[in-house]
This record gives sequence, C-alpha cells and structure tokens, in this order.
Amino acid sequence: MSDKILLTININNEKINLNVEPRTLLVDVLRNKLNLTGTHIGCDTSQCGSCIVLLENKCVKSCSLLAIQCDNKSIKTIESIGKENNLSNVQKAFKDNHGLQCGFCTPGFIMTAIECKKNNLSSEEEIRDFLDGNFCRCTGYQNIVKSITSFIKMP
Amino acid sequence: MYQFEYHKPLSLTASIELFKKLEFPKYLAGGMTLLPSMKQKLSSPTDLIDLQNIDELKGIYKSKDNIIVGAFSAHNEIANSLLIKNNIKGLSYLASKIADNAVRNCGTIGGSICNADPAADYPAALLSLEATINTNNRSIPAKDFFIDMFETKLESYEIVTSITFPIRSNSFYLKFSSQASKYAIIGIFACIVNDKLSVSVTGAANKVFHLEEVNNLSLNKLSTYDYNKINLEGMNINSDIHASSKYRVSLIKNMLPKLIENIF
Repeated sequence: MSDKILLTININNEKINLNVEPRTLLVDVLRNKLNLTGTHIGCDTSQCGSCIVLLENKCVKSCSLLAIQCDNKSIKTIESIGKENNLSNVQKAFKDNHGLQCGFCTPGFIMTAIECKKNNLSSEEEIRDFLDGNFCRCTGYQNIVKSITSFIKMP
Repeated sequence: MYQFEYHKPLSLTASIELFKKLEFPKYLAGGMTLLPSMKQKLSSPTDLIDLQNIDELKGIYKSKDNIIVGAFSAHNEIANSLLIKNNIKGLSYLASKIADNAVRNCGTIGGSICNADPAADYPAALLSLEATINTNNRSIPAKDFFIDMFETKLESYEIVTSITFPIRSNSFYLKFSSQASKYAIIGIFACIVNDKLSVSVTGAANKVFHLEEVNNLSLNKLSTYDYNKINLEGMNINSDIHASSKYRVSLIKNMLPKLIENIF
C-alpha cells in the first residue's frame, strides 16, 4: 500500500491540508473528501469537460490530474463562482439565455466561459472553437454560445 | 486508479538517479496521455517521477537565430507566446489546435514528443523546421529522433530538456482531425528554408515523414506546381476506422495548395 502524502492546496480561497494516496485524482478529492460535488464526473476519460476546474486560474480536467500534482497550488471550483441567491455574471448569463437544461455539464462550461472571457475571445467562431473540450448532450450548444457571448459583453 | 509511488525531485540529476533505481518508473510531465492510459491500465508504471519542479525544463526564449522551447512548456504557453507567434507562426498555430483548451493548459511539448504518437501534431513541425531535441546529455536532430510508432531515439531514463527551433517566419500547419480526439488524421507542416519548401506529414503513417517530392521546390514554382501528381506509393499510408489510405492520400494532395497559400 502506498503511503499517504500530505498536501496543501488552496481551494476556493481556503488553505486546506490533506492526506492522500498518490493515485487519488483531483476530482475525487473535491467530491469525496471535501464534498464539493458541483464538479462532475462525466466520461472519466478527459473528453467531456464536466470535471473542469480552475488550477492557477486556468481550466484543467480534474479527472485527469492527480491531487498530488496540485500541491501548493490554487484551485477554484464552481462553488466559488456564485451562490444560489447571489449568482455571478456568468451564471446570470447562462440563466437568462437558457444555457442549460439538465445542468450536468454546466459547471464545466462555466469554468471554460471564464477563461474564454479572460482570453478576450469574442467572435462566435472563436467561442465555438474554445468550447471543443466541453460536451453538452441536451442543448445543441446554441444557447450556451449565446450565454457566453452575452457574458463576454458584460462589464 | 491502481496504486503506485510518487516522487517529485528537484533536479535533472536526481530524477535520472531515481529512475535508474526504480522497478518500472515513468516520468510525469503534463500527464494528458499518461494518466488516462494508467486509468485504463494501458500503462502501469510502479513509480511516477513528476518533473514539474525542475526549472531547467521551463521557459521559452530566443538565442541567436533560434527559439528555444523548454520541454515543460504547455501547448497553450506555446500557442500564446508572442516570441513564437512573431518568429514561427506555424508552430504557434499548431499548438493552438492540439486537443482542447483544458488539455492544452496541462499537456507539454516534451511529453508529447517523447510519447511519439504517430497522430500527434508536433512531430510534423519538428521535422519540417529542422528542430533539434536537447536532452540531459546530448542533442538529437528531429530527423533522427522519431523511430517508429511510440518509439524514439531516447534511452529509457533520458529526459528531453528543450527543443531548438530555427526561426522560420514563413511557416504554417494544416490539420484534418478526428472530431472526437482532435488527433491528426492528416497534419501537414510547411515552411521555407533558404528559399526552398520543407514539408512534413503526421498522422498518415507509423511515423512522421518528409514529403520528399515537394521538398526543395523553389519559391517561384510553388503556385504552378501540380500537387495532384505527388506519388505516395511505398510510404505505407495507414488505413483505419478514421480514413482509408486512399482517402489520406487524397487529403494530402488537396490540403497542400491551401497550406502553401498560408505560409506567406
């Protein structure tokens, strides 16, 4: 049995110490140890993007990353983006433009939308290209693109 | 995921010493191929040696007529580097088309070329641009580096530290990719070396190859050359579920004129 390793990760602006086995995936730490279940496991083969979180403010697939690779780094999950009664701009944009149906893939799309805005992408073609690593099986993407376009235009 | 041991050395020497001592170790860079392979038990190292803390593998800088790219540079760092955009635009464009954004934030150029996937993008750029692969103890020209499918010139413990790219302002990459994986069904990189064309193809065969027939075409012949007459017999072009070899050949011929238009 591999020994557990002590890590320090800054998760949603809170410094957390954890003992994990080397094989533990980041997504499993988030969901099972920290109860941050907003990050979803969809395909588990790094295709679908439902598990995307921000690592040092950049999108990564948390199902394809070991928790120990994130030692001394910062992670942001969907739980830090807004609250049910106090939605952030990106969440408002998705709500106003019907950018979700079942909502399973939405946390991943929200994270990608945040990096999309940071990268100053604006044309529909650029946005669609950027969404390549996020799958939605309900919406047909039209309203997701609309949501992100509207979010990008917000101040 | 199955159990393994994890190490995070602080120097190249320590990493290599460690590698030689362990049973079946593997180096971990971005992990975008290795970790999914381990989850599926396609690869099962006993130990992972994480290279993320080794500074010698990082950074992108200019040295004389070359751009040196640290092996630990993520695809998005390469895609967004102004130095690369301004000096080898084809390489920056190629990096921006690898997989998807979240994978590009983690996956590294060193990891990708060491894995030597026959459908990976970088090999086409490395061969066409006549890049040099630098390791902990030697430099290997790209034309000698890729040996076969998933096979390179590297010793098992050897670590790629950086890649030296000669500056080629006229270069471009065009890819026809699998919609699911974004791996190249055909990927072609072209650049101009001393007023002559240099073209390499990835995704088509067991390893990347130079397109000998059009290499060395001079600039004034590029627009009138009949790319349809290129002979790819004997190149062992792959047939698989994505495309037959006939279709791949047709893609190469039809993509070339558009690619060459975009070099300038």
